[in-house]
Amino acid sequence: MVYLLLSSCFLAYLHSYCYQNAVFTIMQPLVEIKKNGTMALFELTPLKKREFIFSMLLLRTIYTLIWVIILIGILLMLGTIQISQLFLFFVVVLFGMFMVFTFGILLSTFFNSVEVAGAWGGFIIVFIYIFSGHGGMLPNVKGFMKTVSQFNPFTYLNQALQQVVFKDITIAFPLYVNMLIVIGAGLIFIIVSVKTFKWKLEV
Amino acid sequence: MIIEINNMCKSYGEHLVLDQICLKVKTGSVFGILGRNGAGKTSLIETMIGLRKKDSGQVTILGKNIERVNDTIKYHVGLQPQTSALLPRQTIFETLTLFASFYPNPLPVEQVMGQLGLEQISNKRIDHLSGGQKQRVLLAVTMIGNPKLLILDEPTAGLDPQIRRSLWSIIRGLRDQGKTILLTTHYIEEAEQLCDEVAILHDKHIIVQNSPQQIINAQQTQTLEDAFVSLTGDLVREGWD
Repeated sequence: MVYLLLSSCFLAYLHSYCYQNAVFTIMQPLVEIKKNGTMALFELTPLKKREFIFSMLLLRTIYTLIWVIILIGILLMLGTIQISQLFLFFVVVLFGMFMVFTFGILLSTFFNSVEVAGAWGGFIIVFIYIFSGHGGMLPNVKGFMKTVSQFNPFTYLNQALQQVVFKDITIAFPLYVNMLIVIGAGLIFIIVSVKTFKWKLEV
Repeated sequence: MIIEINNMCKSYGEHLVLDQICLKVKTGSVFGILGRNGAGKTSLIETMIGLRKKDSGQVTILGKNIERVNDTIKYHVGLQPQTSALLPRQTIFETLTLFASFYPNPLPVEQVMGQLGLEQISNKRIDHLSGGQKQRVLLAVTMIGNPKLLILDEPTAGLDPQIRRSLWSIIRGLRDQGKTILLTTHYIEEAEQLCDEVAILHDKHIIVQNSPQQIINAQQTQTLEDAFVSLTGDLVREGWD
């Protein structure tokens, strides 16, 4: 029971870490360097928008992998996951990070002010958290919350992680469906990001 | 001619800022665009290279028609903006190496640092640099791609006279290497000392384009500053200056 509680807490922490990553380590810094003119210097070089976006993605993925390895070590020590589940957990987290980071990059294209980005980012985090099935498994969530949760791609990341970590849980969709939605959402975020990305503030 | 602008117009909404601008810049020269604060110098160069959409007119740079920022601009033109910031926690060497990586045939980083007197401080972080050092780094970033044309927007604004003069000698050195430099300034002395030709931007138009000495002679004044005031008037504009 204690292990179950700790595992739930760690998963909740992982989700919170992901969403805050999207806002505070991706969206806000990108808005800041856009505002102070650094990205305007890049616009006049042969560097392409998609190269810049992919480099941001790669950098943060490498940084997050280190943290994920530490988390896996903790979960292994707690006995929450077994060695046999490692690969699946790693894949789910990796693709989940892809979706989260591309979401952060997408958000950065809509803001010109770091303060406004931070304020809206905080609101978005709370919204995503509430409506991603953290109140329970998706089949058990009812009414308006269920409807909104079903359209939130982070719900499916949440479901996928819970499926990998916990056994014998009530699930709405098989793991592969959840992962397809997560990967699809990430691809949509990155395609839209490349289209809406601007090197400098709109005048 | 490396740059030819014919009848270029630019407005921001209802406000016309550039009207029928015509300009020709010779290859291998230092060309100055002189004007008061708010005259539209930055708008002129940003519109010219395609960072801003022009309303009408034609711009040719290096023989290519320019509508938006394209490969001609990215590979062969270096622009040093008036206000810009580099990544503060990178060192000078890291910054130049990063920007050099964007180009197929960049200049060696050590060579550029040597030219601009940055080699002794190459491991200093950008946020630890003085204003003059940052300007030199920005100039280095502009040069690193080995462009044929360098466009410098107010390169010595806010700098000490000594640093300004050292930047002038660097700019003269670049011209001697065969590069073309187009700079904007509101420092008359800078235009007079540095530029082979000057265009004065006033009231949305280029009112004169010639060498500093010929402008002085035409206005029958002693200095370019007197000629500038004679051409642009000595009224202080409300809400602008």
